Amino acid sequence: MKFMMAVLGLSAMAMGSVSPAGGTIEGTVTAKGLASNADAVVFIQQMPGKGAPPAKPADIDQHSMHFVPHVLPVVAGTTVRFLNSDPTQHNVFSPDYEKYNLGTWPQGQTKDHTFAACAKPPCAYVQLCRVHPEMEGYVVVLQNAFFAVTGSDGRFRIDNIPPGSYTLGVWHPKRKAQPKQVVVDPAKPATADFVLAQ
Amino acid sequence: MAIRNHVWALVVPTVLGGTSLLAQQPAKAPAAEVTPVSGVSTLHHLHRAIEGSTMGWDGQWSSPPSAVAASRSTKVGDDFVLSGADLYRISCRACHKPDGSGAPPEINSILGPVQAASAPWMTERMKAMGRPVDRSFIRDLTSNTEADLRKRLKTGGHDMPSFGHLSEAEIAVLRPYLDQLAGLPASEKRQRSLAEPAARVGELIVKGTCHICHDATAFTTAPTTVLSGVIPPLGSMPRQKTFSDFVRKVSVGMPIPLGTPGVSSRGRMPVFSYLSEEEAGAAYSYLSLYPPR
Repeated sequence: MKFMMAVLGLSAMAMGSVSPAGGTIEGTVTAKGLASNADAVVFIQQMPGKGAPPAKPADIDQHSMHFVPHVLPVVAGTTVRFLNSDPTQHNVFSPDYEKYNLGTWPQGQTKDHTFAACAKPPCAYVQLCRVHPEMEGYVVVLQNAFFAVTGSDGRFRIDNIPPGSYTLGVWHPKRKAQPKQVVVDPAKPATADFVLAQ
Repeated sequence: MAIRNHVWALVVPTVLGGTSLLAQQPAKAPAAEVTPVSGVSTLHHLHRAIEGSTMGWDGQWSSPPSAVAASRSTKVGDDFVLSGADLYRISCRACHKPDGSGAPPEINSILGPVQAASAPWMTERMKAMGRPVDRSFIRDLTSNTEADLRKRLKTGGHDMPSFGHLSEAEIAVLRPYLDQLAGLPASEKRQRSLAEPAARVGELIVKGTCHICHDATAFTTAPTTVLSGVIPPLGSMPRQKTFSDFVRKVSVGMPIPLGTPGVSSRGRMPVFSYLSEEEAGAAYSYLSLYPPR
């Protein structure tokens, strides 16, 4: 998780939209009724200027019959590279938004899809494998790169945020929560906690 | 020719009493060319030891003979009448188990891909997920899956051997049974059967089941080499076993002498109690008439 946050901070700075004196939002997401608080995407809904997608693809690995990571947030326009690490054919398709079916491919090979069709972020695309119905993952397309994904403890942290007032949203595969208003001040971290419910 | 007739005379005499509805009007399959089994076994090809693999072991997992009656080929004259369930049993079951679930992670279930090739099933699945999609997208998904299924059957996969020896007529009988196995609605009504000569049935059993573990040919094995883990090649069977010993070994199991001096041992071979004696006999005759190479 720390690694992901570090990467997010760097990518946000690379976009040229971040002041070195940016602030932090941290908190906890609690998923009521679920065994784990993992896989909640916490994100700033709108940031002035549109975030540019990273030059390199983001990766999802089909590994041991799972999409890894299970939930991948990306900036609109990002290309996701799907790797098959299993010794069996895999497919990736999504029935959401523009809908795509990338075909099947063997171990060690990849296929790309660029998420450029999300008109009103967030857009959550379920990732399915038609060969293995038990497999399910998500790509969540966002307006900017200020996001984090919770681990099983539900904690999150977003760094290098330009000072200002924002709406902080949360997305989860099975639960929901209302957005919260957050004021970011470089002098002290802002806190926001969410309780997800059905 | 005289030898062939003699061998078939061993196979054919037992005609099962009565014929099922399925057997009354079997489609006569276009004669598929019978060819010898060749090459190394699937396990050998994968550099996998029998002890470390689940391939071919449904023989051991299966019910005892008295409890196995669901799928047995019938005979009309010299021909076997094979349903889709029979073709599955002699070609797929040894690895994928009676219910198609396989033995993950080594052997994948066939149920998911078969379900995903069904437009009604996929349509319902998308609806249940709250993501209804139009027919053309469903058609795109399911036709791709069907093509993948058939390609896999023909060419095999990472671990799965090729079943390119199956004829189109046999696949046309097998395929609806996979739908039934996967629980697809109304699939029972689409079941078919076909009549096949004994040589072809023997070929299907040997290539679909025996060749998983047994190489086609190799140096003749001795009790000492078998004791040290060598699996006898298929080519040695007609020379080293009588017809009745072979049938017994396959269908109910039979101790063999291992080591020097020989000690009677059950051996490692699974018992394929789901194969009838006629089917095991057809496999023996096929190995006799079409020597492995």
